[in-house]
Amino acid sequence: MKRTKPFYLQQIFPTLVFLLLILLSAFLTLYGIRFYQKTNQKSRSGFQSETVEDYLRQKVRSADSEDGVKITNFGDSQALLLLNQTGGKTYRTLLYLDQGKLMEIYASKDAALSPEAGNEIAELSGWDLTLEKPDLLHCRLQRRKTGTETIYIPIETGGEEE
Amino acid sequence: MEDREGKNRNRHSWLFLLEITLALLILTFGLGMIVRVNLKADSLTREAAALRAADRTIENADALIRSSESEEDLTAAFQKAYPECKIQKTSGDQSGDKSGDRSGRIRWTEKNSESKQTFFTKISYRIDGDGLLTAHVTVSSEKGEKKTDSQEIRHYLMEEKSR
Repeated sequence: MKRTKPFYLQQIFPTLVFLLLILLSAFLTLYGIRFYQKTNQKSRSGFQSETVEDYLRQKVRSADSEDGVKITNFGDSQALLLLNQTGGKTYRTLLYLDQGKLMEIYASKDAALSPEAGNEIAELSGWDLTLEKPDLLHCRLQRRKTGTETIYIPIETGGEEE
Repeated sequence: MEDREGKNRNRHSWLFLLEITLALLILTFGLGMIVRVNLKADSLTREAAALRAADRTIENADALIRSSESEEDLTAAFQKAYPECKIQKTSGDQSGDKSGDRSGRIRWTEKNSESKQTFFTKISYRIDGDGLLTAHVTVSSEKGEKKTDSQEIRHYLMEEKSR
């Protein structure tokens, strides 16, 4: 007569296989989540860097008029001051950094401004603005994740450093 | 009786093996799909970063060209912006262009921190007698191969025009 194995021994192999499948599924899910997060983070940081560069280029181009673009200081950082005239009144746009973010304020020329009043544009940990020539703005943009990038923006009418 | 029990046990084992094989097949298929989708997403993200870096280089070259007034100004601007760049100037007679025309080439290599790729930028330019500069900027991710982005830029060099 053949001896049958006890019940608990018969169940070990299916239980182990079941556990293995659960572990593999969990690993698969976790790996997928991690990879998705990484890809998402990369694409987000790419979007942030593209936003900053395009925004700066666009803003300088649209303010490119006589005495329209100036480098100044605002709050704790350098700032880009863009002036434009509408209906005989002069308005200013200030692009500056505050707490690791690129901020913007748009107000009339004489209005009192504080850094907290700006609108957040994108993440940017630091920048260095210089005029290489009167008609060439040099921006060194520092980002926590992607490092430093350099961009040049032409100013047809010439800029100024205050 | 024993024979019947043995047959039953065999049938159960066979069903169990079939179930496990199916589960493993589904799992392998799922794993394959996830890996494939993730690899594609990764390659697309890398491509986007490379395109962004190439676009930045072209925009920078465009700014440097547009702020130049003469050929000397142009080469000095590139020399300052990209100290490792190689500049090669040729006069019209040497290049086979019309007499009075000048041409040249500016090349440099740059490592992009975002995409972790090395980019090769080549600018071929020609300046005609009227001072019109026509530059062709090409950025590639591999030397001489795989063009990432390119653009033609035209700009009047005022000092060349008045010469």
